[in-house]
Amino acid sequence: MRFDETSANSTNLTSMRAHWISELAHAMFSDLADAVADAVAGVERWPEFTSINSPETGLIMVHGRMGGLGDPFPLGESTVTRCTVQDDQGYMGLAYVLGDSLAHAEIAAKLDALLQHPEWQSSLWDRIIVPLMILRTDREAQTKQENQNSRVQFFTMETMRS
Amino acid sequence: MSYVAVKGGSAAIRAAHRLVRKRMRGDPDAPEITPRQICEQMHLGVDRVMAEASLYDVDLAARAMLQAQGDMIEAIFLLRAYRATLTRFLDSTPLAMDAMRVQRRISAAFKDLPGGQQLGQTYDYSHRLFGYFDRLETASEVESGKAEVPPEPMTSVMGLLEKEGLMEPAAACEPSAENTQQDITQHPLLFPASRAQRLQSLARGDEGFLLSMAYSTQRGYGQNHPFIAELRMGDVTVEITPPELGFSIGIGTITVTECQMINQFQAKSPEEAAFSRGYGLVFGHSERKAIAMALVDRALRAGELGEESLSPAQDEQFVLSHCDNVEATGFVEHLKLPHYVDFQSEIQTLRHLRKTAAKDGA
Repeated sequence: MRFDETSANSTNLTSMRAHWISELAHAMFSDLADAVADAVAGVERWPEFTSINSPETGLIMVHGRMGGLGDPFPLGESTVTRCTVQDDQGYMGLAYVLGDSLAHAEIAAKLDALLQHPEWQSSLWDRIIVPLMILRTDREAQTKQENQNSRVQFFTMETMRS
Repeated sequence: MSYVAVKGGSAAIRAAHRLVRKRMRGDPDAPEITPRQICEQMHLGVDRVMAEASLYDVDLAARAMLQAQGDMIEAIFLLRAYRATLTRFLDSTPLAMDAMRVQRRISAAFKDLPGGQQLGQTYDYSHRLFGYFDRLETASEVESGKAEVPPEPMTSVMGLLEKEGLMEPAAACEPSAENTQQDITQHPLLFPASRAQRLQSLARGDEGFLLSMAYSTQRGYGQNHPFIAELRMGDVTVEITPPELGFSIGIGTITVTECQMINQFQAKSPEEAAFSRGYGLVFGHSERKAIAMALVDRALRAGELGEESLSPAQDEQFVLSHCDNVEATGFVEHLKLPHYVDFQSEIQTLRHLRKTAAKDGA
């Protein structure tokens, strides 16, 4: 998916932002670090960031649904790390990342702020978010493919029940 | 009442803990295990620790297993203790189970079901022989044309039965909820419990305990004649809506196992007769526990479904009060602590009793 500036109205921007925040959270930490190296190369002037909420690990309660579709129930907690930063032009970057990784949350928050800059948005989307998306979908596709090799068709013996 | 505070022994305690430190490492000439190795090669153990600690964090669970020297309940305890130091930020959106990236999906009730069956990684159909898996190559032998068929979506089996009117609707099970404080980590569990509270307790309950309870229902103590409609294991995205954003974001992926159990039908009239549900959902890959949870969930619905509760597995106070292994181990193992005063009073009473009896006899 390429960044489409014509569609960058506010509704789309919200869904784009939700998308890039999720992509940054799902990235492997090493991939994210590589992405940042890339971002540095793509941004002429890396802004100064002020920490609004320094990275902190806490919990979220993960909910399931009774019978899969019924009312929700608390399944159990998961660690989550969050971070909020503000850059020198006032853009607030936010990250929530499952697990216990302060560095991951901090990088993701900074990238979220950078991605909100209209002048960098499309290049950062193409240089960072798209490659991360490809890496993730490749990982998922590989797992899917491997497991699909174990698809099975069972046959029942008619004589068994006669 | 029972045990008392004692003073002294600090040097001995330090020495005892140093012994743990030494034994924990074992022979220094043997290579040391890393948490990473535990994550990769003992992931089912890691999953169990996460499920029963009720805290999803693979790295922490692996570290806990190492520090606990493989004692799972101690590892679970460590994770629970750590969890108590953290702030709860938010609640997730309920997991979208229909969007699970399925690794394994089987049905014991239908052989042909929409989306088909996929065995995934399983010990089922394997011989329990040492080295059985060693001789298999990890690269797959793709049978020609087999993987080419684009599979249809894995539609929920329970949904199909529900559409036909043969299954009670998922939303129908429940309330008796006078007790609306749902999250048992925030509010103490009171009886009668809601189904949400029961499911939360079971999801973190001891696998061995749930397994035995489930087994007892199969052996006739609260029979409910079960069939596995669907057993799935796979990855689901965790979503939250942070108040500072106001829209939903994905924050990561967790692996879960889900069991949808079909149970004996019942109703007041033949027209209303429908199968009843049992549900199991567990962190990580744990089929044994998901199945056991679904059986016990169904057994605990006895009251709601107008069945006689005669067996332990149908007694929610019995099951829910005893399924947590951290609570259980706390109370059982506290017997190791000094009970000197308590016991002195008992022994005095007995001595007195004997003396009085001897006098009376004389």
